[in-house]
Amino acid sequence: MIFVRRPDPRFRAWTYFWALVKGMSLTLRHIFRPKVTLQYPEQRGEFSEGYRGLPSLVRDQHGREKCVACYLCQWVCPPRAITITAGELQESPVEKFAEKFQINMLRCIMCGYCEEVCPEQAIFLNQDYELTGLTRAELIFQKEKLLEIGGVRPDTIQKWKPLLADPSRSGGRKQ
Amino acid sequence: MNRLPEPPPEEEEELFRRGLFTTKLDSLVAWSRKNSLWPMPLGLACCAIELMATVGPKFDMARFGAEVLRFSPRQSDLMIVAGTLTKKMAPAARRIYDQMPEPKWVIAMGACASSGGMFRSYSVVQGVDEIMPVDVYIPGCPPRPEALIAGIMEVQKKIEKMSRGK
Amino acid sequence: MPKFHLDGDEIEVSPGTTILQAALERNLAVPHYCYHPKLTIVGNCRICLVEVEKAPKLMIACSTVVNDGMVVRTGSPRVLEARRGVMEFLLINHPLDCPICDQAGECLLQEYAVLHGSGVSRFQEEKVKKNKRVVIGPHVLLDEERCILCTRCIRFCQEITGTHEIDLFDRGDRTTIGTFPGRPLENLYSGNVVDICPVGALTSREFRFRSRVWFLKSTPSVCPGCARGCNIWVDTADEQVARLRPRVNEEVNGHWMCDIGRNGFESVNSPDRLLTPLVRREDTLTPSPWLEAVKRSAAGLLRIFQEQGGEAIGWIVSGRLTNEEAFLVGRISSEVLDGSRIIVLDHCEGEDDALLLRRDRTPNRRGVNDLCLGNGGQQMKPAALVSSLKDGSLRALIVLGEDLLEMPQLEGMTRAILAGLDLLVVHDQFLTGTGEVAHVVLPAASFVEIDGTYRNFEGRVQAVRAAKRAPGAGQAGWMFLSLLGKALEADFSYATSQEITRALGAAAPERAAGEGGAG
Repeated sequence: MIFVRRPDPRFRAWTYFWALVKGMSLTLRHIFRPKVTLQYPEQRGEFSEGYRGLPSLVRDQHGREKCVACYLCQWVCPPRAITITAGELQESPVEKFAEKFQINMLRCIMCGYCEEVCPEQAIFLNQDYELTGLTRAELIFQKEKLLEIGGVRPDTIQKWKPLLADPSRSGGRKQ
Repeated sequence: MNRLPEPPPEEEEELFRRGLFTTKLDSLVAWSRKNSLWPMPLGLACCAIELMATVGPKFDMARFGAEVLRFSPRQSDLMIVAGTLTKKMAPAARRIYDQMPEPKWVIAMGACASSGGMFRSYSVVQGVDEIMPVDVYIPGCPPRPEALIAGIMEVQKKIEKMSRGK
Repeated sequence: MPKFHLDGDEIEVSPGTTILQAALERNLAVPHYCYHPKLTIVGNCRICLVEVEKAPKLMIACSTVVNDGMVVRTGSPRVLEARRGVMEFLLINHPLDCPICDQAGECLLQEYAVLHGSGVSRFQEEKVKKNKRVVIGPHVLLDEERCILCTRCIRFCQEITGTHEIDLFDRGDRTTIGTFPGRPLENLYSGNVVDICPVGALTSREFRFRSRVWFLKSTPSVCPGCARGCNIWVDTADEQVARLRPRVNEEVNGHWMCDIGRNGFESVNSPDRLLTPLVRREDTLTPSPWLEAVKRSAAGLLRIFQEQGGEAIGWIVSGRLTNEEAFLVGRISSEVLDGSRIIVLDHCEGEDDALLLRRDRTPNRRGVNDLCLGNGGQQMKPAALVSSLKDGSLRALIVLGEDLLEMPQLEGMTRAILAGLDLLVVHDQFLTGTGEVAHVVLPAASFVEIDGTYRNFEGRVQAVRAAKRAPGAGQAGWMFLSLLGKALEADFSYATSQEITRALGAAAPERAAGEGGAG
């Protein structure tokens, strides 16, 4: 059997007091430091330009829906949040459009692959980040809602513009 | 935030002016409930990191009275499922939910908890609403702390509505 | 036998072989557009240029016949430079339609642009504008801008079908392919020009915008459209059949298939498919579990068999059954319901044509005849069916995938006759007129949802594989018959179609073994 001598408790108590003073002084010092709390929702944080929020569809400066339903975003989407059904435009040289375009925001991971892969620059991630829903159904966004969120985004390429301007090229020609 | 939910009726205005007010008991209870949510943090994956950030000084969930994140289901009334719920974890999650006393609310935070996210897999529950009722869904991978706060505010609204019998 | 050097290897080929054929045989990736193994060689796309030693210029591999001692290089810097040049020429007037083009993903122009193209265009002028979306036939759509004038389609219509519908029109960079006024591309094999078109100029009207090819899952199978049994790929996307394509089998169909077979799958995707078994209760058909429906059929059959003998029970089959299903029909009818009658209906239309299509529009007439009746099954001629139903000598019918009210060969068949039966069991994909008066209706699987084998008109046994699951509770015929056999206490039970194939081979090796060609 070994007897261990405990250290003198009075000395320990003395050091405890100093630890208390040290802790309190830290707290007191912080009271006078600038406050870091973001008063959300009244106050909002600043994000960089490349921040990836919710995906949305856009129109060009002439109000044309840019998506041609090429399915590349549906293909590249890692969680397969995008579902497209293509339709045919009878009176336009663009031929193809998205009859249904649906993004399941609950699946979406805002990775931005869809924006990167889009050959028509029709889908963009905007800066929205605070989306909540009470049901799953209300967070599956249809094309109309996506276009409304996306709004108009002018671009300089305007690949279809000369074709759309040429009346002889609208619509299919039968032989 | 800390105002009482129901303004006093006209005839009681005088009393109110003198510093007395009346309210329905369940409105009072709901008011206190919504401003003292005790979340049960079910941190399962990366979303839990954002959940921690939400409690930290920058976003400070204490402003909403919901800073007491204790791993103690019997004292909690708001379950925040933050992360991928695997099928192996599902019985434990459900058990924790069952241990929480009524009334209780559930937030599915992030893509995985809400819908399975990118894990369309045999091993992942495709949304926690398959095993428990969810009140608020928050998309994002992970959602920002602001989004989580928005979700908590949504829960608060829901609690308030409950008191009005809506 | 000429010997020559191809990329450093000395190889021997049969006389008359071209460099391209020798290279493709050795899996050397020599690009080519206009060359097709079944069509004459024209050498007009110029992408297959290779370097032949001692020749002053590059030679096109598709039409240069191998000579003894030739030294050929398919990947030298000169060749790569020439390919890049050819690609640049081909892309000069090609529109940037890939996002809306159905060929994207299986387009040789895309593939070679990635492999051999330069990646940028030096072309500054306006591209030549031509007609798009030109309807040239009931199944084919032409986009003149996308065409690279390889003339494969023209040669197909000249050499394979002999109908000469497509030809070249105009001169220079305005040259297009097209049809003659009043003569659209209407032959029975027009769908094949879509398959052989290396770019998106000719596209299918049925497949148009239905899916992108990179979503498709291809399953090798056999066309059930006629007794030829053309080998096909079943392309499915999201549990829907998107299209059928011919699968190369030189012994059966070569590279082709007919439009009837190609477009004969639409009913598979129908939303009206029967999804649950139906059992008649108090005069209405009500949904019921499979096993209950089968047990009820079996109980009814046994009662009639004990009271009136096997002669009162009839099986309606046709050449649409697989060998496995026919084998089970044969076994049940000869082993359990001894003496029951088998009625084989035929589906014949027109005459055999010169290329592929057969008069008999069922894929397995030979196998069904053999396996249903070969084991001592009792046949009844279709002509005798109506009269024996009328005089009451047939009291129960098991109908496998046929609608008796729609068969022209069954004269005088009415709903009332069928409704008067003691037991009518129907196994079908749809709720047909026959099903509506039946006592038990069971949902069937279509030809893209079953495993099994067909024996074509030449006696070749070929395997069919399931490309997707049947919708709802649909089950293949062999599964229904296996369950029915079990419920009738027959001494067999099969869990997969392959087990039946093996049993069938063991029972009748000389009949089960075809000349191969399966899968």
